[in-house]
Amino acid sequence: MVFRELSLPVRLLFYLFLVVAAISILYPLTWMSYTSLKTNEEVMLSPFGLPTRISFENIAEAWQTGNFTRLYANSILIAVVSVIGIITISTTAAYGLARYHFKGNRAIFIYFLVGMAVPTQALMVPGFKLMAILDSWAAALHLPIAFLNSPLAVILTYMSWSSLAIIFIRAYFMSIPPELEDAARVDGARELQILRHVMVPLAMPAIATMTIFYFVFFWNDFLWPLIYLHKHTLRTIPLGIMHFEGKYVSLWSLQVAALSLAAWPPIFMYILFHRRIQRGLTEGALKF
Amino acid sequence: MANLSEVNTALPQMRPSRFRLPRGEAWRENLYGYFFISPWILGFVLFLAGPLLVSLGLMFTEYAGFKKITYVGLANFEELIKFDIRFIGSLRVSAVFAFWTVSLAIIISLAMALLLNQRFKGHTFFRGLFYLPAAVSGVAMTFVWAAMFEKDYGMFNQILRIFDFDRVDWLTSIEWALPSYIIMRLYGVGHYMVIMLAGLQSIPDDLHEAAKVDGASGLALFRHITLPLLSPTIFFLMIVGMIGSLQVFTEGFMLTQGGPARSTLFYVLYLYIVAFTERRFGYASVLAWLLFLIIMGLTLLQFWLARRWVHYESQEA
Repeated sequence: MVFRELSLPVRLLFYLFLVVAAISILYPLTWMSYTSLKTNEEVMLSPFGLPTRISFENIAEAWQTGNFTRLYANSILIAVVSVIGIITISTTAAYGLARYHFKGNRAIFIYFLVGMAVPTQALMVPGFKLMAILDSWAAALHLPIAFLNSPLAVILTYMSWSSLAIIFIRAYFMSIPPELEDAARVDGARELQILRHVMVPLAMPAIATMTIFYFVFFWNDFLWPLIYLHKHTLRTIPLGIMHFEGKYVSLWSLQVAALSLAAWPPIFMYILFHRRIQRGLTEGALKF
Repeated sequence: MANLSEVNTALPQMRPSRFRLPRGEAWRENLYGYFFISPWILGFVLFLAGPLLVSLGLMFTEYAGFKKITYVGLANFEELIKFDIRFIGSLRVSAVFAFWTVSLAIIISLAMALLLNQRFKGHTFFRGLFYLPAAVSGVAMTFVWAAMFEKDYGMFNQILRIFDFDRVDWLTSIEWALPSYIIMRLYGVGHYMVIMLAGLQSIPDDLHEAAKVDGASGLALFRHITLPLLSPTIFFLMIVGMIGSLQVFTEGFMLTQGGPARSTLFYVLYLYIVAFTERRFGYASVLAWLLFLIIMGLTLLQFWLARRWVHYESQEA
């Protein structure tokens, strides 16, 4: 079917349908966004009407009472450190797997692929226990490190989930001709320098895709902070939102403002990176 | 990790290229190879494989997280099979949820993708727009949905009132609570759509053209060309969707905590309650591994069934 061959009324109807679909799909998000920009009186008078003027009073109050400075700091710390860690680990491992014929290369690759199929649920209990054990060891050695009730527990757990990034980046490395490295080697570059200055720049598209993916996932994740972090000063945004919504049940406008504060960063990220996100989603699916 | 598995990574399987280091230096290959993979192996063993082995052992114990661990043999398994009504119920809830979300998501996303696959002005814009909700999933979205489902002022009941229907107790009635979660999940259908669209775009145009020259109607084109060529994509979405929706937890934990009358007690939610509310780590490990087995079994079953309906071009070449 060629779109241009259709008659004008049919084409208009088509667009009308798309616009209606888009509005209804985006309604919950837009409702959240504009409601958080209304004044309290406006929210009381017409809970679902559009705002007559933009006011940041609820946003500011939610930021204050919900202690969003801390929530953001915690979320950013956990997501950024975990992503840097996981990308570093996966890039080096992918390079090792892609380029060196060490004993057991293929076996290790396949064996650890299983890591992807492991259910996170089976990790909840032993993960919690492991962190408690590490805590007691640290205490016995008088080390000033905490695992449970510290971002470290979440970060270490996240960092062990590198299988996906390894497979993705390894495949990319393999598509790079080895002559490039050989040239660098002839010029006297060491193995780590080759990885850092030749391979990583070349594999940037794959690395960037994985960075965005893991970042969004860690940013939105709820389960692991819930299991490891019980102090209110350590809460990430998802945890903070949950407690905030339970506490201010009657303050509708404040609640919605807090939701916006949590949802806007991922929306913004998506608008910035939507091409790469969509490409990452589809790249592999087609070769299934 | 459920969400991460949505990125499929079946990228071209190439063998590592040889001839890199001078021959006869196998020890260097080994040294550098192990050097580069060691941080990964270390993290994997310590924080993934190790804990998993521990949880295998925990299945045969009674353990509340404190000092005392009691070996109870197969008692946990016996309880699971003979006495646990909540387990059977939660299995049913998750199965119903997974079945409806995956099948509806595939139908809806296919329709949307067919629509957006037309070459009209602004199709990339609409594609981006339809995907947006899937990017914002999570805790905040769940509470926005709770507001939409609210009894008196929520969007759904407002719409019903316009058309003079009785209001529905979305999240608070036994018959509507689970369907509410299914609707909520379908909001992320843009994710399926993007993949479906990529599948559609990979079908070469000339196949359609050739069939049209032979006089095939629109419906016949869809039935005999589009659908078979799209079947690998649909199959991929079925697998990924099933794995993801069987592990649903966050929404149920935040909104209804399993109620009313256990009608939304999802499997993983029940698992969480057994582990961290009732603090029965041994029994929770049994539940966790059983879920793993169920997911593995269903995935293998899907692969087996796929031979009958998934069409791979290379098979004919």
